[in-house]
Parts: sequence; C-alpha cells; structure tokens
Amino acid sequence: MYSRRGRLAFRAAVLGSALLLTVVACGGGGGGSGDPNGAATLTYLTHFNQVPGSAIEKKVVNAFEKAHPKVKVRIMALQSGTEFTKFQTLASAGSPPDVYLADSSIMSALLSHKVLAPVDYKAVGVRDKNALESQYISGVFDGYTVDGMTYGLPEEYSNYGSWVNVKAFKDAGLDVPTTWDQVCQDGSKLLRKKNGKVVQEEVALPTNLSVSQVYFLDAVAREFGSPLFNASGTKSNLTSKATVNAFTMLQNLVYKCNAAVPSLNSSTQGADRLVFGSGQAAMMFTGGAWYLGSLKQQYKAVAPPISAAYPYPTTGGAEPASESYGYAWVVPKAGKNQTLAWKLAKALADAGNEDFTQMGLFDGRKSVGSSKAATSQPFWTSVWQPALAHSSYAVSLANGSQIDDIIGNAFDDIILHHGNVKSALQNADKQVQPLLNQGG
Amino acid sequence: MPLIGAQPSETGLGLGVQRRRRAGRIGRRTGGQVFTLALILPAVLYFLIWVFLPGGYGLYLSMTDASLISSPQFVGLQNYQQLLHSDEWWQTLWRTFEYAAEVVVPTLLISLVMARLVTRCRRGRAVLMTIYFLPYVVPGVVAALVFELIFQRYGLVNSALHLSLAWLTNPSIAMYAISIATIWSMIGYYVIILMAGYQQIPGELIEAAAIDGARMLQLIRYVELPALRPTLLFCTISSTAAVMTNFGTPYVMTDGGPSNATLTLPLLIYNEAFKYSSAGLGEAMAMVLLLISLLLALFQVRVLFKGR
Repeated sequence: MYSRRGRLAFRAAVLGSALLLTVVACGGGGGGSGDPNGAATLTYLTHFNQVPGSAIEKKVVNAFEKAHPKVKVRIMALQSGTEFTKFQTLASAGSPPDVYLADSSIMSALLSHKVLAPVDYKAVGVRDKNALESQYISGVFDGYTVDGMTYGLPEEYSNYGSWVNVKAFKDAGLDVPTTWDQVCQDGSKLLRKKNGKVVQEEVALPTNLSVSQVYFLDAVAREFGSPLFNASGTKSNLTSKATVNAFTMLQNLVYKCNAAVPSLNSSTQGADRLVFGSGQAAMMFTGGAWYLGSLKQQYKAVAPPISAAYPYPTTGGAEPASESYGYAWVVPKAGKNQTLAWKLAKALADAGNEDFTQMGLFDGRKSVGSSKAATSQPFWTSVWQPALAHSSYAVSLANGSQIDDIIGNAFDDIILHHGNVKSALQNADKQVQPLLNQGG
Repeated sequence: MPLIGAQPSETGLGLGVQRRRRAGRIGRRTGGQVFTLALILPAVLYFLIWVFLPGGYGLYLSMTDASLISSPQFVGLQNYQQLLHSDEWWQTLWRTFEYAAEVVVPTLLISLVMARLVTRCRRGRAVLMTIYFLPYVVPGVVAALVFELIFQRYGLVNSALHLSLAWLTNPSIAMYAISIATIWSMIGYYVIILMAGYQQIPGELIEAAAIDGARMLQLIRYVELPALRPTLLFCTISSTAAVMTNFGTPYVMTDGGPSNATLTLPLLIYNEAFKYSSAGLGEAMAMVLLLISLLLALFQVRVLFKGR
C-alpha cells in the first residue's frame, strides 16, 4: 500500500514537474512570430503610454491591422526612460520587439553592437536613401546614420530652450534676460521667501536626469567656447577653460547670484520641470516644443501666456546654442518579419502631423514643420524651428549613458555641494577617459 | 512449539514466507523513499530552475563581455580584474557596508526593545503586534515613495523638526534618509521574530534569575540574550542580506544620487547591466556580492556562536 501510494505520488510529482518545465520553457517570449500563410504577430516597444500619444498610436495600429488582416500588432507601451531596459531583457531572451522607438542617445550603443537592421526603403515606400531624407529637414538622420547606412525612421526631432515665466519677471519689474550676466543680476530680485521658505527662485537648474543635464551643459559649454567632447567623441574637453567657465557660471547662479536654489528640486527625475510647472521657478532649461503640451495639460497655472519659450541666454552677445536629440523607429536584426516591421514603422512615423498638433512633437519632416498647424503653434516659428534648423545632435558616444552619469554627478557636486569646479571636472575627466570612443 | 527467541528458519517457517516478509520490508522502505523523493522533488526542481540555473548562467555571464543586446564572448576573469582596479566599485562596496551597518544595528536594537516590551504587555499585545507589523506589509516601493515626499525640503520631517535640510539632495545626509526609510520598513518583521524568540525562553529561567536577585540588565545580559542567540543569528543574517541586496528603496528615493552618495551595490549592478550595457561586469559584481554575503553570514555565525 505504502509503495503504491509512493509510486502514485512520484508519478504526480514527475508530471507536475514536467508541466512546470514546459511552462518555463515555453512561457514568455516578446518577439513577433510568423507562419507560411502570412499570419504574423508584430510587437513594438514605445514610450507613449499615456494619451494623447497612446491614442494616436492605437489608431495607427488599428488601421495597420485593417490593411493587413492576417497581422496582429502587440503594443508594449512603457514609461519613458525604461524602454531600453525592456529592450535589453527581450533581446537577451532572444525575442526582441519587431519595432522599437529608440532614443538617439542610445543609438550609438545599439549600432556598436550591430543589432539593428538598415532601413528597408522598398518597405517604407521610397526609392532610396536620398528620397527618404529629402522629406526631412537637414541633419535629422545624422543621429541614426553610420557609414552611410540609415537605421531609423524619425519620430521626434527636438531641442531644449529656456521656458520663462514671463509674468514672474514682469511682476519683479524685469525683462526676460538674454545673457547669463543678466540672469545673475536678476537672481536676488526674483528670490522670494515666505515664513523662511523659498517660494520662488529665478532658475531651476537640472538635476537627477543626467542625459538632459548633459544636453544643457554641452550647449552652455559651447556658448563659452567649446563643446564637452570633440566631434568624434574621442577627446574630452571637460577640463578646458570653456567648460570650467561654463560650470563656474552655473555654480555662481547658486552661490553668488541667489538665482537658483537646487535643493528645491526633489530627487525625482526631471525635477526642474516640476519646479517650473509648480510656479516655484521663473525659468528652466530642459524643455522643448513638447513642453507646451505639458504646460497646457499638467501645469495650467503657468501655461502660456504666463510663460513663453526663448533661446538660451548667451554669453557676451554670442549666438545661443542648443543641442538636438530625438527618437526613431528602428527594427532589430533578429526580428522575424522585417519587411512587415518596416511597414509598421513607416505607418507609425507617418503620424507626425498628429504628434505635432496634439503633443508638440516635431518629427523633422519639412511638410510637418511648415504646415498651417505648425505655423500657428506658439513659439514654433519664433524659437524652435530656427533653432532646429541650425542644431545638431549631441556627440554619439558608445558609452554615452555612463559618461552622462559621470558628468551629471560632477554637476550635482558643483551645484548641490558647492564642490570645487576644477577638481570636480578633473575627476570626471579621469573617469570619462577610458570610456571615450576609440580611434579616429 | 516454537522456541522463544528462535529465528524463523529455526521455527520451521518456510523460506518463501521469510522472503515475502523481507521483500515487504524492503518494499515499504523503498516506497517510503520514493514517497519522500516525490515530496521534495517539486521543491528541488523549483530551486534548480529559479535559483541554481540562473545562478550558474550568471556565473558564466560574469566571465563574458555580455551586453544583453548581442551575443556574449568569453573573456575569462577580465571582469573580476576590472573590479579590482575600479575606484567606483570599492567606493560603492564600502558605501554598501555603511548602509548595512546604519540599518541593521538600529533595526535589531529597536526590534529587540520593542519585542521585549510587547512580550511583557498583558493587554493589547495583538493590537501592538499588528501596528508594528504594518510597515512590513506596505510594499517597499510605496514606502520609498512616501518617504521621498516626507524627506523633501519642505516635507513632513523638516516641518516637524523645524529644520531646513535637503535630505535627498545633500550628498552628506542622503544616505541617512534612505537608512531611516529602510529601518522603518524592516522593524515590524524583526519585532515579530524576536517576540517568538522571547516566548521560547523558559519562564523558570527568568523566575530563577529574579529569585537570585538579578537586575534587569543582568537578566537581559545573562539570561535573555544567550537564550535568544539562535533568533538573533537569524535576524542578523537575514537583515544584513536584505539590506545589502536592497534595490528598491535607494532606487526610488534617490536613484543613487546625488553625486553617487547613495549608490549601493545592487544599484551599481543594475546600472552596469541595464544602463551601461555591461551585463558581464554587472554579473561579476553580483557574484562578488553573493560571496561577500555568504562570508558575512559565516562570520556572523562564528561571532554569535563563539565558544559553543
């Protein structure tokens, strides 16, 4: 009796374990699949997980599925900034998404690992590279091109400028500053305290989001004479006079001019945008054309006409600098349905007009930038369009994320901890050296 | 008539019966073993699939240049050598020890005091236990988010204490804020564990010590703490391991900032693996962290059971 029960239990356990193994072996899998009859499932990874972006994409997907009745599209919408982690986990499991909305700052890492397929011009309905690029303003594809091969269809082409609470400046009897010296002079006049608490600062400096810190810092460093890196990313200018002067000027905004109180920023990523949105800062530097949508939806109290966009302040009458960045639809090489994937990418990229009118996201297309909807967008023709026309992408660094974190930490040390500018930058430079691009 | 104490063969029982009895005994023994095996097999498989296989794969990845987005190439011990020469690694390791010490010592001391008080409560013990245990059932991420708000420049802590500290943006004090949040989350669990330990101490021991005139500190020093050794050992090892591998609290509250002031090993491993596409190096760090945790556990066992 005992042994029969034992055998029974043993068989049950073996069966259960076999089932468990089957579940483990066959479970998961994010990538698309196809069959000889043309039926396929495509997955795409995006950061549009909220309306209106998610609704626009859903509409595109529905139309795509209607046009391709045997194709199902699975949307993987993640919070912005987390999609690269998801992409890596899917790729390491052997099932990358068929289409991925990639940030220009990680393109270098993706391309250096050779995981992306070049654009399939036939699938996206153009004759060749020139025919595709001629639809866009100059420079848009620079972030997605290596050795003459293009790897992405642009979804967004943006840059940063200053967003200014014009009312706060007017209330203090001041004009909007156009130079960093003026920003410094206005600091104390805009600093407001109530019961010992700072309720308004002149400028919210960026903290906690290293990539946007670096876009801002590189632009300011260029205004002071040289960018943070050379064009090929093989040389760092972190200890150059221009960089030291730029960082010193920003530190002075905190400790000499009373223009910035960086500890007002919470530890949340992109806290400077929240501080500006809540009306605690009269100026901030990490918003693009798209920030208009955030102001209208989330921060109505400071939305235009209370606030307005301007180019960055400059130093001594120089041209204001800004750096462009963006997102593009890319197709991983390991995908099983690359032609279909490029067709889906094209359909998603074609939603540029709606992206622009509903979210302020410019995809770089000439037709979108010069449309009636665009020209009626506040600050488009006065600020963003001219800046983007002369803008270029940040230097493409294979170890860009790590380098951004190192520079972000140095900047945090300088503005939050009153660290010595030269030694903070020397220390950052020492860490950055082995991470620079190799070769010429 | 069979003789008392005689063997079956001597009693005239047939060989067949004897064999059947022996076979029955063996069958019962085998059946019992099979039954036992059947019971432990799912657990063994579970650990094999979810712990040992990933662990083994991790060990393999630690010796590759894995990036998660392309095929890994074997590089031998290169990642481990890189760790030895990395200032960031040593600084983060030391910071993680500091974090562990800042959390484990106060957590166990406070838990010990609270467990002793609650054990001696005659009324409302269940209510107190529930209150103490509540923080433990609050999801770590939620607790961290709440503490992030509490520790803002104009948050609850500064308002209550009439301070103006930038808890989470000042590199000198950010780690304390994280430690406080971690201690709050962990105390409830250890109060319950230590209470169970207290209840295992025989009442006679306490009474005998009291009759012998032991004062409270002597009672604690010579009776309670020695009796609590096994429980304290468990608490020390599990809390140290929990803190050294705690990812959620620092990630949510500061993401390692400002200026890496709260960057602990789990965050560094995450950054290497997922942010910097250096999964091989991240895995090497994870392996070393595992080894350190095991060595620490061994050290704690030795210290707590010294002389036994």
